[in-house]
Amino acid sequence: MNSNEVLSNSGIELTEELLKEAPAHLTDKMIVDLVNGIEVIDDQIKVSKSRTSKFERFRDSFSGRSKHRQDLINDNLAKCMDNTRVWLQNHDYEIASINLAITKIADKLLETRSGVMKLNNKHNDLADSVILLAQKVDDKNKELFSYIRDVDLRTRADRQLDRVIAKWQAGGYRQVNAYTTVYMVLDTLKNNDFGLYLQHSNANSKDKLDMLLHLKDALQNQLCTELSIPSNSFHQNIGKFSTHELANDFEKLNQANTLSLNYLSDWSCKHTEPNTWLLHQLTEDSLNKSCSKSILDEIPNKIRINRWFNRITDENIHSRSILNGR
Amino acid sequence: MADKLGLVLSGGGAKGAYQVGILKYMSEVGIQPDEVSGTSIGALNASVVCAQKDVSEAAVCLELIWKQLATIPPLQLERNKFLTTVSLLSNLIPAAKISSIVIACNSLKGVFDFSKDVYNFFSKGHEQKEEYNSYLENQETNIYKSEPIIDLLNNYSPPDKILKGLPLYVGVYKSDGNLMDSLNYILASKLGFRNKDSEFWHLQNLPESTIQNAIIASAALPFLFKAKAVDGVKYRDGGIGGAFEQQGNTPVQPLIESGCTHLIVSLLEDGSFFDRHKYPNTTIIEVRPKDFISESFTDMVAFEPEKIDKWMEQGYEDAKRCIGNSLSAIKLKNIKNQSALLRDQSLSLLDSDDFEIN
Repeated sequence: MNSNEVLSNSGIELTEELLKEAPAHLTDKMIVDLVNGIEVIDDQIKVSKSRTSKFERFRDSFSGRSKHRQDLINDNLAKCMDNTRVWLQNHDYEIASINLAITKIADKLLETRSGVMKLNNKHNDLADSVILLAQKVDDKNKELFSYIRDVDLRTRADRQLDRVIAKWQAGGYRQVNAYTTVYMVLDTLKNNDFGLYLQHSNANSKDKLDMLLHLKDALQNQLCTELSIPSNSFHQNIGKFSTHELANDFEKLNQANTLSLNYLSDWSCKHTEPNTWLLHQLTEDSLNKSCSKSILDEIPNKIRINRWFNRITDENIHSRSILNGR
Repeated sequence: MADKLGLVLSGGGAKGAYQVGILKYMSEVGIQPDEVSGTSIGALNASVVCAQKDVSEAAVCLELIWKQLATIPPLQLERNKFLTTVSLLSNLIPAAKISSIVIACNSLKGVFDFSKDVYNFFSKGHEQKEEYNSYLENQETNIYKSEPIIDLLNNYSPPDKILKGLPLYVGVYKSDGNLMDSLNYILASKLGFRNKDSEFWHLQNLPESTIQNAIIASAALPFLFKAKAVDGVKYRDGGIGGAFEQQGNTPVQPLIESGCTHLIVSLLEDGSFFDRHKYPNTTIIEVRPKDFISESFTDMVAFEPEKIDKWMEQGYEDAKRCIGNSLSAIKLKNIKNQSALLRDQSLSLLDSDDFEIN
């Protein structure tokens, strides 16, 4: 509520127009006549009071001095009163001017406060928007960093896959047979960049599945090459490998490699990862030179290559990475 | 019209020391008059104010003079011969006042004896007045000599300095003879009769040789000093003229006529009938004694160190109150006006600052 509203509610009509009718100008003379006139009055009263004897009073009356003194007192008193009136009117006028000035300042203050409040609200809105924007930028940054990390992980996984396949192609795994090589390659990928990608990348499942399919294709191609099987008919192929021959191969393998394989595959379980477990058991048998016959007795003599490939791949990478990663 | 301040120093004999106090206060607060006027002792004081460089020097100078006045032999009266008699009779009926003067004068052997002549004056009628006045003027009817005063004037306000100083006006009364002047004064001041007005002379308009005589004439109280002849006409104390309303004793008129807008008026009488309201266009500050300045008739000639010190102190205190109060009130009003102007300017700026928040 500003001053005009306050005044209209109170029924008072106070405007600067009213102050245009200024009171009589208060001159220096008026002030002096008032202030100094009191001295004149005091002086005359002092003398008047001192006239105590009858003779003095008679003499003053007779000479007209008494009347003249009283006239002076009266004149000065009247002048003082009149000047006081003008002075008071000037004071009232000034007070009214000051009140109007205060009212105007209060209005301006009100306007300023209202403006500041508006500004504050705008500031708050802006601050909220900035916070929201910062949050969005932060999210976008995280998203970007996550994407960059995923791309990096993917790139590293791709490179590792390429390196491992290249190593295989270059005969880097010639100490072991092709089936064992598949496992070693899977184990190497699983525990390095490829595995990190599958386990920690925020990439969606489809991308990861694509990556796995790419891996399987690459391994499959290389395995086909190693086993001289046409890769385009790998899944229709009914070729099998002999578990006994596999066991014999492990017996030919030097102990260090056998120990490594044994160690790498000791996580496997007979029921959930039977093909990996089989490798583990064969290395175990080879190292112990004992109960391999009994293990071989428990498993089929021949295993279809393509089925074994799919299963061991799933055991080592697909099931543990993709499913667990979810 | 530019403001012009005049200083009016009225007459009052030895009470003129009071004006030293006023000048000391004016000097302290830095009030410098543009013109000055005086009658009787006020004329003597005014001549020093006029001749000195400023009010400060005049105040110092006058204090010195007044200390000296108390020690000048011719100004020290034999009370038992004259003034005590006058003092005792001062409150009697007006007729007795004349008698008192006569008795007093009788007591001064070697001065003159005119009691018989006074009797004759009243008994023979007014037709013999002129003759009688002439007779009186031929007698050495003065109690004080003018020489000590002339010496002081020569030292502190010589004519050449007065000619170069502030415009100075003195009040003088064209004498009708010693007794008539006294009689007229008493009739006017005590019985309410009107006597003729005094004249005011602008000393800088007089020939240099006349200036000192004019000042002495202005202070020539009947019986106490001889009347002074100027251009063949005898003049006396200006305080005699217009005695009822202090026309001559308070020489305001010449300063108003010369264009003074503001006046400081020193009054040396308790309950003076000077009326400020006769001058509606002039701002007048009267310095009036708060306590009684005069205890008896003899105070007029009481050039005594104790009284002079007391009057100087009283003049200072009264000036401080009368002038100080008026100045304070005017100063406050001016501050109020200036602050109101600043306020209005600030409000105007506030109105036109184009402040806006959308």
